[in-house]
Amino acid sequence: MNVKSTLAVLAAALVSLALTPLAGLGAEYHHVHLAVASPSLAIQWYEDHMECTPIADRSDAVRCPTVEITFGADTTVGGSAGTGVNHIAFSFPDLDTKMAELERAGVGGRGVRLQRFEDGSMISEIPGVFAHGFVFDPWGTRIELVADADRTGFHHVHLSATDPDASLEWYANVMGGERTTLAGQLDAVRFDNAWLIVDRHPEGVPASTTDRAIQHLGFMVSDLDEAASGMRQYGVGFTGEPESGQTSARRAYVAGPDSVSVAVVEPGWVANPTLTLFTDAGAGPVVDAETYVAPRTPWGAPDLEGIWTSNRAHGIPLERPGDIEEGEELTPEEAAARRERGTLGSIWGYEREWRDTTLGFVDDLPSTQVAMVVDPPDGRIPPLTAEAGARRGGGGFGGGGLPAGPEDLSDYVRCITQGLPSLMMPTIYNNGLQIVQSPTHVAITKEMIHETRIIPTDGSPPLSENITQWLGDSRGYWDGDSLVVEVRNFNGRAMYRGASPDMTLVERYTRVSPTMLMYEFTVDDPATWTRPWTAMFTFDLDNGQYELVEYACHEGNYAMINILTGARAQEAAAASDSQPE
Amino acid sequence: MRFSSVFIALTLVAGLAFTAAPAPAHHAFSAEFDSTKPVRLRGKITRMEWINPHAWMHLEVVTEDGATEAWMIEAGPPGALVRRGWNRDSVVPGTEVLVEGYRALDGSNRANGRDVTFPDGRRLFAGSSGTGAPTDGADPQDQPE
Repeated sequence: MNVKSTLAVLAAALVSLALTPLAGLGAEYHHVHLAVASPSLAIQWYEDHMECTPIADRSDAVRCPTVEITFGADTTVGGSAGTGVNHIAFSFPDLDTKMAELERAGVGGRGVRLQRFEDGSMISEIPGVFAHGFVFDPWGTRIELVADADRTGFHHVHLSATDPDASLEWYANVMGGERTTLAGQLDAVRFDNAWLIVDRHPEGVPASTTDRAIQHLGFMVSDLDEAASGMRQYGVGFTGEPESGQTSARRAYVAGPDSVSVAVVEPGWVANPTLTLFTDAGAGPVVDAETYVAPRTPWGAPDLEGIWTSNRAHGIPLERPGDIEEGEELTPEEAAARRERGTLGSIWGYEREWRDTTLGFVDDLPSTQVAMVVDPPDGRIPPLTAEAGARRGGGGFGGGGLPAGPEDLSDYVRCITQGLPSLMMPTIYNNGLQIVQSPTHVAITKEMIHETRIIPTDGSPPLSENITQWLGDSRGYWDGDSLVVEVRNFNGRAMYRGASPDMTLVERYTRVSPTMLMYEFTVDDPATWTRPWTAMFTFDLDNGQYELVEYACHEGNYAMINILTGARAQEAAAASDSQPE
Repeated sequence: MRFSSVFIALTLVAGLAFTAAPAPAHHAFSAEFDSTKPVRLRGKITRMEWINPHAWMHLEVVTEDGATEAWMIEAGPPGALVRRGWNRDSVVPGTEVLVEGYRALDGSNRANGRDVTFPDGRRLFAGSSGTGAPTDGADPQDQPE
């Protein structure tokens, strides 16, 4: 923000102080802070759907138009509903048109989730007040849309309180809003630029705003120190020392009623380019491995826990295609086009809704990586050995004939295993990967097809070479910020790309930003390839949106029935075609 | 096509990766369902199996001559259905729905669901097998080739 606009905000704050005789701090309602997967994508969403405008020099906020929505790249454990701040509201003069537009936007991609009323309608009338409807943003914030001709744009913050009256009293007294009613009906606190409305929490106590989609409400005061002494009269204190914020000159937090986090900020924002974590393209965090230090678990290991998806990596070919030069990156447009071809072409056949809802509902900008193979540097898998060439000649099932029984189908269709490292690869759906750590083990579960690896990291000795397993024997250790896992003792029944059972797989998991996990694997099998080779892709943290669902892998494998009965039907049809009339 | 080989490499195991034929890919549409046999089924939901890798909707369909038939409709994975706006309240047994999809190859009363229309007119995408289902023009966002 430049000096001029800072002054303008200051002036606005002073004007509001001067004109409105307010109690308490005389604070101005200032912002709502949301946790999102990517601030740049969130800016785009609120610009597209809530008619907010980006703010010059700011990569973390929009103006709507009297209140700022600020975004932090944070993970969440749930949406806003259920907390002390149930939702935020925007007002549009023509609600019918707006809701129809949001319905057309659809749920696909970073779309709009409508929340319909029980009778299926999108809009309902609050008699004597206004018509309203509800949607969700892609990151879990519940949004009410109202038709209030008196105020368009950001309209109100809707609290859910155990004691609505006490809650409104608190905001009116401490922050200095005006106790009044909206349209003569809804108890509210009015600030110059927004309303606070409160409902009684339906049951029990509202959840804390910590780690939820709406993380805090922000009020602006002209002087933080003055505010601190003012608040003391009400027995309210900062929960920590004031800090210099990225979005304000200084800020401090107080605990509002019902565990709602409330920020009190001084005006003025100093752009600090070194703190900008996200690129304009919204392609995800800018990785600066030099400066980023992964967080640690309570016992001191790098913390890789969470639900990760490799959705953005889906579509990266293993090897560099011949028509792309070595060392190149795709432009975002080329990457998008690649995914269009890959998902909408002959292999997939289904339309965008399939892709959008199964691949990247949250953050669907595809990776610009040209190939997964990073070593050899030319992005090509090294040549096969002569021995492997001979083995390949032996073939296997896959000649295109119809399967006689389950044995003829892949281990994947039979729901046995995808093998390693295949199970780590981006899949066409159910792409969630959950990592759970203990001081002695790391557990990795992939939703597709419900495979779990429990990897000792305690230095315990590997299995005897006489014991072989479908997924081999994984042993892990920590190397700086990385988890390194060595896998040996494969049983040879689910080998990767025709490798021999003597293959050694070395995996390296490195958290390279708060939301990105780099996964590298090296395949070393002298019986198959003339030299070891390494591939790499990344996972994105998706704790807020993604839930792994258990598999009914065998009892629910209706596909097996369909494939086998389908094969018999095709054989019968072929036989009757060849019968003489 | 560049993607064909990648897809095969990622999803098929061992020997299959060496062949060019993508024949028995994972849950391939064409191995289970017949894209030349579209079905439109009107009936009551009797049961919803919210299971991975595919949810299944059980229907009681009333035929033109008044008889009832039991049908099973394959839908997408539960996680994706939720992201498309499905939830346990949208598929309550007894709800009358219209299902559009494709019949099983064996001619039995099983089908791959594409869209499900609810009594209030809502239409939710059921799309199950992401592999090889026909592009049939029902997607308003489909762009002409």
